[in-house]
Amino acid sequence: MKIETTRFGTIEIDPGQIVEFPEGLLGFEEYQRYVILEQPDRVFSFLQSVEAPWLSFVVMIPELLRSDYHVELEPQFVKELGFENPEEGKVLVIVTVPEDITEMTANLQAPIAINLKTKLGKQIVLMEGSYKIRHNVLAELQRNTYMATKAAAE
Amino acid sequence: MLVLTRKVNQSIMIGDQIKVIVVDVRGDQVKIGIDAPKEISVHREEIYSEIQDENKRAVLSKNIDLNQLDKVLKPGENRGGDLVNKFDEGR
Repeated sequence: MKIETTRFGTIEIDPGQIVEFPEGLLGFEEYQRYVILEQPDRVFSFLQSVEAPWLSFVVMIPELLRSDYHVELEPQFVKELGFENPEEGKVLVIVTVPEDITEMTANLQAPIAINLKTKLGKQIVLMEGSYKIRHNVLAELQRNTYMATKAAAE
Repeated sequence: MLVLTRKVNQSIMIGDQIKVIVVDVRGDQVKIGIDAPKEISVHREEIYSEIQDENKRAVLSKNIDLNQLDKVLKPGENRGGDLVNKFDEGR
């Protein structure tokens, strides 16, 4: 099927790839259907609304920022998203890109959990602790690369 | 709404698994401790509106040049290569 998007023009998507967020994203509860537009070999992907052409987010895999990142889903969410097996899961975080791109931040406190099998998704709010709403992406990437290099050297 | 008066170090039970304790009171600030089972999440109420605001800020603006997004990660080619490799491993 074809969908209209403000940033990518008219694109062809496989209806089987549509992910439904029954509650929408926080602040955008009225839009429930999205597709993930992945770019091969690129760090950033896009979460594009199927219903609103203008509604598009930059997303990325949180492990690139924090290699030990993990989301423990509460039992009610495991049920809501229809998880039978953790392998079905994909976690993405939303990246806010301001005019000065180097200042882009990732929201590690409210990741997006998707069940790739049931195609259901939800924005999860993690309890306050190690992760915040705004992590500078460039600084975290640098830190993570440094840690990985250090670990490899040891 | 049920309103109870408590002193520092006194607590309230909600059901038999959730304990709310007044840890400290200073001026208009109250420090509260909460013991709850792992499957119950506890948040400041404002966190939801903070995340709503952040999501609204995150809607991809027309002014952002998408080609710059990945370029900004690669000031040097080596580092860029590393990132791409890591990306592949992550998938």
